Amino acid sequence: MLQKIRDKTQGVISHILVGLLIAVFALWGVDRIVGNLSQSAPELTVNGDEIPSAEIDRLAQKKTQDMIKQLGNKPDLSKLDESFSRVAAVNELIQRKLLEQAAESSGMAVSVNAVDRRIRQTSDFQLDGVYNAKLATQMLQGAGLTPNSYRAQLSRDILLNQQLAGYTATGFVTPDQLAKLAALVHQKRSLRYFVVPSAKFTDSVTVSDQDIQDYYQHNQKLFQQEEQVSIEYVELNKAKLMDAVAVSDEQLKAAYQDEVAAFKAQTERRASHILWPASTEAEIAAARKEAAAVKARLDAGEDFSKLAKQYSKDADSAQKGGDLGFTTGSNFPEPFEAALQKMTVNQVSEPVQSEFGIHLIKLTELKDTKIDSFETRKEALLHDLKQKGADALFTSKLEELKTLSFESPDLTEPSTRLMLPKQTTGLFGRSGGTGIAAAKPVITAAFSQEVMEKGLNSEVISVDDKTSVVLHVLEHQPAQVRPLDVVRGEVEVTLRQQKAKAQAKELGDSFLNAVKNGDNIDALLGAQHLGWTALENIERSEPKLNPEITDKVFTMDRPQDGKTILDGLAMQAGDYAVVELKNVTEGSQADVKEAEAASMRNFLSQQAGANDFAGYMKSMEAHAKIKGRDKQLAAKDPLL
Amino acid sequence: MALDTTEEEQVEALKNWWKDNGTSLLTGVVVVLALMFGFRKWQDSQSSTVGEASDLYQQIADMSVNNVGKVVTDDELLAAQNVYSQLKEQYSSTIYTRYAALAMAKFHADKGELDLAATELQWVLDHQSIGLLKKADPELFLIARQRLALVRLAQGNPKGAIDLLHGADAGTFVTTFSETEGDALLQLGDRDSARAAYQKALAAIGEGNPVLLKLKLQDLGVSVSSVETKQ
Repeated sequence: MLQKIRDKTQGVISHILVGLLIAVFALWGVDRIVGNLSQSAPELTVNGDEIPSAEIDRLAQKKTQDMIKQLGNKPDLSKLDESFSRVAAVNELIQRKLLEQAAESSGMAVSVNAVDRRIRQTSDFQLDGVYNAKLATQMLQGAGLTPNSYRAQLSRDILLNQQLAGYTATGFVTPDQLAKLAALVHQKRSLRYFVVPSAKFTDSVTVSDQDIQDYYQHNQKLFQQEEQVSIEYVELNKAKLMDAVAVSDEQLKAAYQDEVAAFKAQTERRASHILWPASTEAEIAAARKEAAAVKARLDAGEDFSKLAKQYSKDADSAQKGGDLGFTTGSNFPEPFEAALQKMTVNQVSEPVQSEFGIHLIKLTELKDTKIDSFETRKEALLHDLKQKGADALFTSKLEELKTLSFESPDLTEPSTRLMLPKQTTGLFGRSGGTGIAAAKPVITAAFSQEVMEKGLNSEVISVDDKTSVVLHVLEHQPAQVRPLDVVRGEVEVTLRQQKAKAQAKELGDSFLNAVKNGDNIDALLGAQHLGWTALENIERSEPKLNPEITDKVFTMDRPQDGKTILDGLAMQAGDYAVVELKNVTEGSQADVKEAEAASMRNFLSQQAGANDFAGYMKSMEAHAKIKGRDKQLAAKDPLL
Repeated sequence: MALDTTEEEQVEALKNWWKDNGTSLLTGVVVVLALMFGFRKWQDSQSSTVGEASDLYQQIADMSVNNVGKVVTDDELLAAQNVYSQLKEQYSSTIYTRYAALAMAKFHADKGELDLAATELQWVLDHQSIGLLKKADPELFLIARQRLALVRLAQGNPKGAIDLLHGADAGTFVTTFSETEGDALLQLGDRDSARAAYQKALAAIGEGNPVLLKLKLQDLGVSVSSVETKQ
């Protein structure tokens, strides 16, 4: 009995199991399941979907290349930050994946027709504007794509664009928004103002030693100085070595003799021709006939250049009387050159056939190339020899420098033995100094543990392709607060400005109160050689007004009941402004020109769409399970 | 099984097992296959339905992409309306009809047809479910909500706008929600609350363009330079 029950249950269980297995394999495919098991752990996943590293690498490289292109034709690759393209690539692929997932879960799809249409419209697949199946297949094979994978890719692109359009292209602007923007942008304010300059007081204020001490004590952070070093160094310089290379007259002459020996004399021939183009046999026969006729006239004494102008079908040379310029024996077709070789000057050939047709050729000039004289070659030879000598010297001295500086505690020995003077720099920080101290490898070496802390000679550092140096730290100054004596001058200037600023404000405020009290402000101002500046109906973009004052004027409350608004403004530079706002007029649509209205509409609706899409992506990322992002961001581009 | 069972016995046992269970197993397999086949068939019909909706939407999407920052012409609007009514009649449960409604709202709002724009946006808000197995992203409805608030404001209904904006958690849309709320509060004459709303919007702006918000704040007495130094 028990056995029977067990058998029964086994039967039920096994058929459920088998059924399930069949269903699973049928729905998802064997390869999805087995494939997943056999792969190593996925690197970057978004809600469980993997983004292959190879894809990230590919996009990051493309972005880096785009950046290089943007840097112009002489890219400074040291400025290139490839981690930038990597971050952009990772983020872009995550966003794409999120959008793909959203498309799937919201039931978006692309019809077969839409994909067909897109393929037919792809210009790369078109011959003379018409879709060409053979061309399309070739293009796909070239890109390593199968038709199915390409169609899938197109489907994804179409879906992505549908989503983008749904969010970004549906932002709008209501008439209300446009009116409010016009009111703000074209708001007009009328005002008058005067400025009490702090410069009035900078000379008259007094700064005591106690003031300076107090300021210094309370503002130590301002006087922090980073760690600095100064170095001495010896420099091996190819250009300087060239000066040291002595070249004797014998060497120069020997070098010239080598040149003479290597020189092959050449004969240059200048040719003119008359051409009858021909390729078929009939054409050739006809051309020959015509050429023979012209040849007869030439033999009878007619002028070649005239007849060339008249008969030659080679338009360029015909204009010049058939002249083709010089050849060293290989500029023209072979039969042409062969004929030329056998001719004497001013002789005209019988008709010659080449791939272009039938020519009548005239040799107009014969010239033997000559080798330059020793005197003309001397300078260049001297330079060559010196350079060769300097190169050899540089290599051998470099080896010596390496050994000597490694074995010596300082630069004295290398300097004397190699006759390289010791040079020094001033103190510089990790951001570098001037001259040699501006070179990155020099800075790195100077602040390295070996050199800065242990006081050893550096290795030989190649600064550029002509210069190598070895350096030694002279002085190492740890990070410190600069002493008061050094910064006293700076502090005094600062304090003087502060006090002058306070005085300007004091005077300005007293004037402000005078205006409020209805005193005779103009007399007061006049006594200080100051006066009001009045501006009527200015907008925010008013070029005549200091932007700081503009900002102030446009933040002031609106005057009410005919009363003006008064306020003071301590400006960045230390001056003090007093502003009286008289009235505010809101802008209206009438102030907005047509082009401006269009750009406002464009700006507002694009911004609306962009903000909405950004919010959508941000929200999706916040809700997604993204694994391995940091690892991918940190990963190096395998090519760089 | 016991160790002494012979091969014959094993075969016999297998035969018996098959006699007992074979029919039910086969039935199981057939049923599963039939279900699967049916599911695939259903999926195909679904996707071809969606494909048609997708094609229709594409026409409206193209039109909205071509008219970013522009007002559509009457002819374009008429064409869009034709396509849109097909979508609404035959595919009203797809995500595409909602995207299309957003586009229609844009066409109308740009033209100043505020009531029509409001109708489309309200329809989106009232039809968030798109079927059993599918789910529209909730962000879509937050966006529709804020856009409807903009339209309400333009209709001269700032209270209605504020009610809409308070009707949902703004999530990652704090900047747009708060800016619109600020506009509504200002329209109601509450400058202090408007200023606070704009400041909230600016604080959440991230990489967005702050120019307009700064302008609005400046008009409420917040100096542009003070905003800059704070950031």
